[in-house]
Amino acid sequence: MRTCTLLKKELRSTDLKRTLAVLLLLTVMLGVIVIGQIGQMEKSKGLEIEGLIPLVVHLLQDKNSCPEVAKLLFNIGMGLSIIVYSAYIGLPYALSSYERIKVDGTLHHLMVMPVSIRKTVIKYAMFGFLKTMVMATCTFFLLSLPFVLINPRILFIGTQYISLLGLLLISLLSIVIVTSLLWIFNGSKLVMSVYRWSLLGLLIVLMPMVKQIGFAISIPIEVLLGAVLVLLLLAFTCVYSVGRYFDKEKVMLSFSK
Amino acid sequence: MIAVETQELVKTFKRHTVLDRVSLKIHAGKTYGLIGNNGVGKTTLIRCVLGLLKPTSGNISVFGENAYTLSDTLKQKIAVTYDSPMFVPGMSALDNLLYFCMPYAVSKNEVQTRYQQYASTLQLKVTDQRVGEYSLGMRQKLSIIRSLITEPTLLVMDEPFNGLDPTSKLALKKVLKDYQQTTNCTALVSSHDLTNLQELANQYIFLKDGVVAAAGQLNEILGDRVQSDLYKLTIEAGGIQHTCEAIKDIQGIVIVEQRENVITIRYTSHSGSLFQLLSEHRLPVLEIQGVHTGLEDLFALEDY
Repeated sequence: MRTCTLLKKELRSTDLKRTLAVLLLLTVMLGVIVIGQIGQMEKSKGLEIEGLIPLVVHLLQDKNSCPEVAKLLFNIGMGLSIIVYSAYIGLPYALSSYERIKVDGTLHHLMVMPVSIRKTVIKYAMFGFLKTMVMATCTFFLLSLPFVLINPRILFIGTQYISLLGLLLISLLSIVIVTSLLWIFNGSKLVMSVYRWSLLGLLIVLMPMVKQIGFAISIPIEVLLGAVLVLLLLAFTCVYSVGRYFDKEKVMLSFSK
Repeated sequence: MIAVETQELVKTFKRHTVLDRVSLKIHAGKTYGLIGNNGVGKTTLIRCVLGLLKPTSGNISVFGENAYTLSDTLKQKIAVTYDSPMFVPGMSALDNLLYFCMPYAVSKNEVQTRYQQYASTLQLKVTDQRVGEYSLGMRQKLSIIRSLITEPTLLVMDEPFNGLDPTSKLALKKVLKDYQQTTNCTALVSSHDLTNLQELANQYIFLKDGVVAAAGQLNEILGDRVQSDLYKLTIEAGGIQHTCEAIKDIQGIVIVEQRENVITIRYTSHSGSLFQLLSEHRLPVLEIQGVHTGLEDLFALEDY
């Protein structure tokens, strides 16, 4: 009942129309990227097939091309969408939850109630992650639907489950870290600003990289594992620090400003 | 047993001292009225009790534990109503109560039953309407229900009569008195509504400029001094004007109020009895009645 009530509260505060619009927009954008990448694949393979659907059918029926398409679809539909949704939906959601509960008075009560602030931070981060996962899954489903209809085997060919798990863990831990940082700094707007600027910086750095190396990449397991371990350590430190540095008085005084 | 104790509590914001060496004991099972003008430090004291503010110096303990680092076990026993009741606007009253009661040892059924019970006593309509559409009075009632539903041992209320109509105020007093009697809880109620507060509280803390100006039961604070100060004189018909003029010349008597043939005076002379003084001046007084001073009068007289 308890988690359900909290989830119910969070769902009520979610702008469903906006969420759906973002979902459709990103799916369309990623769809365009997938089509572009398939076009490049056609070029690299020296194929000259008229029309998109015959090309896709040909690629999916070809034993060599099918795993490549599957990998591409997985990298863009799942991998890229997890990254984008984490950055633009999950994280902002977890971060804005602080301001939201401050405005609706929950935070005021939370500090008096027998509630662990650490658990609260984790809960909001989890909700952010849940939102990311749901939206990424929907996008992947919508993107891969035409491909699955042509060749259902595609789902089992190039799917990298370990990479997916690694990406999901990275997404979750990043959301936990950034949300904890916000609470450590008692809801300082600076955290939100730093986050936005770093996101912009990251985009500027990543865009040319992606253009160069393309989307059909595979991250080595060691790199993924290393990243997960580092983030796990950071997440533990941050969550621990929330209980230590979250200052009720500073928050109280920010209410009267 | 002492529920809340402050020792030389000082709370300073930048250079401004809001609470200055406040030492008081709040005994368990009693209802305390916290009184004082705006800005004297009532809310700051309440926030210190709730562990929301850290004392600059001195100590504050709740049930023997440091208020700022209070354990979750003791937090279970405390409930609060703030002066501006806040809820999740997009949820119904029941959903809000379920949400806010989550960390407490109350089941869903208990929340529902108690909500219906208190809502009926406080005349709050049980609907699926979103709390965001509630009036101030309705939110205030819901806030009171939220604080009572967890069956606290220490109830802290900041302006609980805010936004309530007279009928609801009566209902609130009844609910709080009944709750206090059945659970023997301790209540700290801050309010500017002194008439209603007097009916609720049995102990008072008067704050003035961050200092405890007086504390205790009302008659202890009043003493004989104020109670014997005020008198109501019933004057013979037609003699009111003459009496008023004559009284103005008598040293030690000041007219406080005059309504029809009743004059309220403050008698401060201690050289003789009031009756004797009035007889000497041959005033047409039919009856002399001592005025029992209430919180309002005390507040006005002492300028707390």
